[in-house]
Amino acid sequence: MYAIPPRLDHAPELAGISCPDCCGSLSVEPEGKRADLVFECRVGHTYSVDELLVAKEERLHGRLWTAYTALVELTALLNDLAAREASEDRGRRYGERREVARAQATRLRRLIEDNAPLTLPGEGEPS
Amino acid sequence: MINPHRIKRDVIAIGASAGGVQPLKDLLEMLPPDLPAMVAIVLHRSPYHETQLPLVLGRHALLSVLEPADRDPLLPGAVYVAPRDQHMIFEDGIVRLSRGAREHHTRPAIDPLFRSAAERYGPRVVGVVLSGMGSDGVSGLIAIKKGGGVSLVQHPGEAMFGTMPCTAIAEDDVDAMLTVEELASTLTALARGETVEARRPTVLP
Repeated sequence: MYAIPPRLDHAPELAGISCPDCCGSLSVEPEGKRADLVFECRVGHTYSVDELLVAKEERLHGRLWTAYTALVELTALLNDLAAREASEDRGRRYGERREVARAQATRLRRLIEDNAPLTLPGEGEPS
Repeated sequence: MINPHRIKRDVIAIGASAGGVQPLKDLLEMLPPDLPAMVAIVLHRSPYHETQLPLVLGRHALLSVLEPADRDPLLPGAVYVAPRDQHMIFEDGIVRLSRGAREHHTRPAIDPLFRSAAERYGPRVVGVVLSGMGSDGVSGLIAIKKGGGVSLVQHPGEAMFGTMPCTAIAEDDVDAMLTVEELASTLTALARGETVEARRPTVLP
């Protein structure tokens, strides 16, 4: 599925990605002398290409940390529950899942810290 | 009076945010080329946009200004500017860069630099908070003071955004609030192990 419709004239077309601010549908249209793309959603959130990239990067950043926290919290919860658990069977299940979640958390943390975002160059100097 | 025991304060850590470029440029123009200290700077900046920050700061600086790579050695007379999207901290004799959790919604943040400086270099550290909004740098300054270091802020009357210096004064026992010109001479004197006359700022109403 495309993010940007393959053929674009000077009229808004529905894009294949969602608005970073409200998750509504984005449409896209070329604008100005350079035909720079402008994205706008149903309720009016508007982005240039660079702004959309930054917003999507920010969203990724947030979601990766959210996933990491989910794994860390699950690990901590299972750990504390395993310690209080009377049933040997439950204790074993908690412990096994805890170890898997802990290993996943470690891998995800490494992925997050290695994730260098896109670098946007400055505009060229007008002459 | 600052530094009555004449300790060489040769690790200078500077934090700045909004309105911080100009005072940084001015300060670097005034620090002498033979400054017997290393200088580390965190300026809040976009994680995504390429800038010429080290070039801009270095244009009139008498010390060499650089954006370090991870594990670069820490050398006296060099000015290390934290790269975008990475925290910059001190380890023993080297700079470390990391994409650890943002602090105060920002990376690089001032606090991690200040904390690591306090931890590694204790009384040798001078922490400086320049113009900016918000409160990044405050807990770092407190850590520096706790480690026996010196804590300075740009005079809020001179700073374009005085919130960061004011918050520091309110929360920490800041040793002095100084204009950029006074900061330059004070940092130089402290690096040489001299005593500096200064009045401790009181909490603003």
